[in-house]
Amino acid sequence: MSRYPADFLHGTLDTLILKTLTGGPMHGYAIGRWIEEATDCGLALEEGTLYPALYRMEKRGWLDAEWGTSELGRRAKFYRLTRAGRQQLASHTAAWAAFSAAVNRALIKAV
Amino acid sequence: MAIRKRLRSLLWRVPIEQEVHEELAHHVEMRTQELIDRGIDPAEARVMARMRLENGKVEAVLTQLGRQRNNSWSRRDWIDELRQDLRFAWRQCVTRPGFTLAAALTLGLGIGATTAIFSVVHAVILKPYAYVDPDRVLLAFSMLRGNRGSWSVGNFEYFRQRLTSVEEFAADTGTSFNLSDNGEPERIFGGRTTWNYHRLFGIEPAYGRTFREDEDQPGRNKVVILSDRLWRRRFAADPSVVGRSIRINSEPHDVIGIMPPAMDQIGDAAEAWVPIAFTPAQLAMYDEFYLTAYVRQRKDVTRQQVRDEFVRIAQSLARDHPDLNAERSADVELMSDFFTGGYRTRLFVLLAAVSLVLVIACGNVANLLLARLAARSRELAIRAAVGAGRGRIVRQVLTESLLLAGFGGVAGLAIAWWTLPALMRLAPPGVPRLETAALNGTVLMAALGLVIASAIFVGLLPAWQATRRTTLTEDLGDGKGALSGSLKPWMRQLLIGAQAALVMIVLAGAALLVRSAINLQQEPIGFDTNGVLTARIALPAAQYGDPARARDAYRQVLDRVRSSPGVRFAALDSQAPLVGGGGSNGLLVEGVRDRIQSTSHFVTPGYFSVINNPLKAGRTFTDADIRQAEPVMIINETLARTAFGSADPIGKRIACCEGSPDQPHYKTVVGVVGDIKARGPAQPARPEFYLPLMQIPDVAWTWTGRSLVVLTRGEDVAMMTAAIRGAVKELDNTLPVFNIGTMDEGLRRILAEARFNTLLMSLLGSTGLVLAALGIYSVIAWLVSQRTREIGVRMALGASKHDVIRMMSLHGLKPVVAGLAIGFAGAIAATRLLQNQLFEIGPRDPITLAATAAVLLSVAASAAVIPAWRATTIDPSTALRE
Repeated sequence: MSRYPADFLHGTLDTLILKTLTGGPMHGYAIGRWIEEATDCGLALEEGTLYPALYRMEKRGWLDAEWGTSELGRRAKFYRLTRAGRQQLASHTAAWAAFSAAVNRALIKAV
Repeated sequence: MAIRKRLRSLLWRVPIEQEVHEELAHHVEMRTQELIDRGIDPAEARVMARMRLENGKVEAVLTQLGRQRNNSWSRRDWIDELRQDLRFAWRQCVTRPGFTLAAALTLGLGIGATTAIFSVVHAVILKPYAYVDPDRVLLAFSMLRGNRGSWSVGNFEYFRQRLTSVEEFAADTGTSFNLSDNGEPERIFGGRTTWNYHRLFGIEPAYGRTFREDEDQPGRNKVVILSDRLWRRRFAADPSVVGRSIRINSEPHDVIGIMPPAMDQIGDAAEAWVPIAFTPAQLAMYDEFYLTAYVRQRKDVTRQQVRDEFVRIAQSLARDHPDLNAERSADVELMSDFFTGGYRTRLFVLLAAVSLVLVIACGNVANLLLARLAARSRELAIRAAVGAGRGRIVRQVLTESLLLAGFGGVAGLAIAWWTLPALMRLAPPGVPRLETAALNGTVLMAALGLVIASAIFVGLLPAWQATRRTTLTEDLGDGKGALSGSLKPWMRQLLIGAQAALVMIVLAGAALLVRSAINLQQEPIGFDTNGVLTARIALPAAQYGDPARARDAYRQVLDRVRSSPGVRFAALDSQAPLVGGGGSNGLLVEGVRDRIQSTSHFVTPGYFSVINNPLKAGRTFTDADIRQAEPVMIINETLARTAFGSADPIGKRIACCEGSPDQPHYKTVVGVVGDIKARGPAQPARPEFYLPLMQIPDVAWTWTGRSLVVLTRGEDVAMMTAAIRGAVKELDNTLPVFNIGTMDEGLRRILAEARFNTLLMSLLGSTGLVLAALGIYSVIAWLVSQRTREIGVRMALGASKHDVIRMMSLHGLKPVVAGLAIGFAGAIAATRLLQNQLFEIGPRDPITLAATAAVLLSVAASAAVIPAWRATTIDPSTALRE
């Protein structure tokens, strides 16, 4: 039986961001859009949620950032996964699978 | 990983505000574009995109988060860099173990010695005293013509009744007790104190209680308080001794309390206390000065107010009792200052000297480090070229010196741990609180401070050199350094110049102390200590209160000692030279009104031949000088001069010790003996007078406490000791014999302090000299190695060996001479601090200073010439090919 810390669900946003970046470096706007599309608009991210998450993850060393040029030809900050970020993604993905399976089992069970 | 992070933080430094602003601007633009693509009016699209940033709230939050992120990064980078620097420094140390060992030992020597001396200074001077509020506890002095003296009971009582600026005013007098219970009889040093003595210091008894006021009265004072020391030594630390009765001077006393160890640190060596219990007769005596007075001043008054009140009361005392107090005043001094005052300068001078040696040691290590950095100049240049800032390089060099200093600190603690006990063993007796010196927390903190200070001293010049851009670019061009760039030797010359100056100061101090010690050793003391044994006996009042019995007892003891094997001469004296104790009396020369204060000796015939004190005029005492015969006196030359000037003193009459000013009891001077230095060679001879023991008035037996010193001369100390012990035992086997020792030992003990200071200063001076010589040697050797090619050229062009030696050694000698000049001035200023430790030599003695400079210069010259001479062995053809 696994244990889940209180901010486990909160950490799912981080995990989604990490997942997004497995495709290669992206700027903040693109990350937000990708998550919206990938969840079929199930998750619309506010800027006030997305960017603080990015800065926190940068501080924890899961993301690295550097300046690059965007599709519009403008200077933009591109985020990239670090090795620590990859490890975080792997462990959280496994934990999420176990968690959602457990929740699903409970939800389909007849009361 | 760490390096990538560092590069990122170095190269990618955009202010956080700009970073956030640009990132969000880009975001807004992207969204606007998207909205336009969906067909929304551009102006409206921009407004909509902007709205999602919540009026700048997002920007503010991000700026804050970004700032935290940057702080965390720079902390992590700093730690990474430190770890890197340490790893690098460690590798440097490990790959050159010889260098590391030399540096660590050099610094360890300095740090260890300084730490050891500091722990002594801390224990004796800096550590707060054990009693409560030490800054309110004073000693009070009865002043006679500006000299501090003891108190008479009458004067003490007069002040006690009038003082208002003090909380407590107490007195004690040191005395000896014959302690006997069920164990061996023992002579201990004790105190007779007023009842409030312990209360004044604020130290609570460990068991029992202190004196009550009503116990401080004649007849009710048969109570005793034990010191922690005595309690442990004699009573096995048994608390139940409180309430028991023990015999002191053959009288039973109830033990009412036991003091904690803190009381043993007060300053005197008392092991037990009894109430002093002044009799009404004593309270009316104003002319016998033997009390020490203690003051606890009130919280709300200043020291000056206390002093003023003492002076005021002294003036009123002088009006009320003008006969003895007309010329007396009173003064107070902080008790802790009084006890440590004499050691304060001495110990701080020592601490200063040892710190100078540490600085000299740092100079050597700095020199080594400079040489090593010069060898690494290419590496440093590359570091600078790839973007390491000045601060970064300074930090790296300082980390290296900190690591070296850390090794030095470890070595130093080991050295201090080993030297401190030796220091305490060798130290002269009587240094207050010395036995409490230890490597405690404060001392360890000081040692840590020394390590950091040494690291800075050692690393600063090298670090500065390492960052000079000219050096760096030049070094990139030519790794060998050639003739310019890192070769500029002025920094290292500055170091050896400074070392020379410091050594000059320490050596000059040492030389002065050595000469002073020689002077002391050679100073005639006026008597012969060789083969003389002394021991003290005291007869308790209970059995020997009658002077006739005391006289008989001593006669018996002396006769038995004289006839014992191994004893050639024997005599008695109330206070023998170098032994101490005894008293003095005011003498009235016939026809003169002023009294002369003079040390008293009550001696048996033959005394002068025991210690070989020469008779200068007249006769010595004989067995015929008894109470019934004509009263006679022998005086020393100083007293003869003081009393009679150049007139012949034989036959003159002096009153003392009995009678009164109106009816003087005159004694005729029958002999003059040579002056003796009874308190050791450093103290001037005092006026002294001698009376035949069998002729002294009965009251004099009470003054001496029926305690006399037995002196014997012979070859074998063990036989003489046995003779004295045997004689006393035969008389009364409860009587202890104490303070047995040879006069040679006594003299050594008195000279111990001078010898100790001389030894330490000489050790420090020679250590400094050796370190400085090593420094000079290494600088010249390094210069020679750097200039091999140039020397080869010069020799190929015809320079003689002599020229080369001169050229090279002058590089070392010029700064030394400059340093010497500065050191000479420094020595003249600093040796003043030694003034009161010097005997018959001035602190600026020109011969000593000149000789010191000459020694230093010749050592420096040899240290410089040896490597310079080696340069001449260079083969020009080899040197040129290199």
